Amino acid sequence: MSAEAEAVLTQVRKGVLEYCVLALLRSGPAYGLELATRLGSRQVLLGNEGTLYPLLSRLRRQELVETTWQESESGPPRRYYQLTPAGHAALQTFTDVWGPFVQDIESVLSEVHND
Amino acid sequence: MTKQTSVRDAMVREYLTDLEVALAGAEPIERAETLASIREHLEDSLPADASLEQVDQAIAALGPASAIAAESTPGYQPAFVHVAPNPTDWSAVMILAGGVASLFLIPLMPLAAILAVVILVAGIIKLRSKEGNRAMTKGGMVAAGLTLIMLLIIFLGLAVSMDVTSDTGTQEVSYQQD
Repeated sequence: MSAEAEAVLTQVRKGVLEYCVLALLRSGPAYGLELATRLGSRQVLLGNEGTLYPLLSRLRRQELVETTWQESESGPPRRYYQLTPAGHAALQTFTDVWGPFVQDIESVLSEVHND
Repeated sequence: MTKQTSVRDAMVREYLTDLEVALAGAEPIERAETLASIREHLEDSLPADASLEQVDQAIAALGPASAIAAESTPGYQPAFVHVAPNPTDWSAVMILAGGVASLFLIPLMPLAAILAVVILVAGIIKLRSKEGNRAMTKGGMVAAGLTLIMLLIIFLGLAVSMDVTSDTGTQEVSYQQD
């Protein structure tokens, strides 16, 4: 991927990736590596796995997610993230506006200039 | 501990140190949580017998420390540092003014001498307290010291002239007796 494309993606991810994390947590609690793997399996959602962690910390401080510790069968205890009621509400709001937003973008991008 | 384990641990330690430095300007709680989470991520993703290649890949997947730091929330950094103006040190002003005034009062010798001594004593007390405007205090003390020196010179001059006058008077009396 070119540096220009990466720069565009970095900008586009801002403000969107956190809702993708909230969306992944809708199905249940998940730990950091698990979230990184699930996001990373998509084409362009996550640039570097490490950038997920400042975001998770922000979500926790905004009380959109909360953390709990659970024993792991394969190693040390894991920090699990799960949605709070405020996180559910924020995700619902995002979902409501995302549809029209994407439609508008696609409409603008496909617009043919007749000038 | 095998050589491979120690190299692997050193690689992880170096990455975490780089990350800690890169996150120096981040919001403190976010910095601590990010460091802890990435340590957990590496512990989780690397088996106990991970090869050096696996460690290298795990670190590469996390991304450069600078990229992670770029996504972090900046810590509180004041846009400017408010420097409170130095309050006027009135006692130092008084000492300076008193010292200078003593110079002007030299014609009134006893008053100038008393004022100069008072200023010198006040200056010494103030300098010992190690507070306030030391330059201004020292300026006042120098002026008071000059006053005392000049008064001393004048006093000695007067004493000599009075002595000469007294001698001349004695000689005149003795000449008249002769």
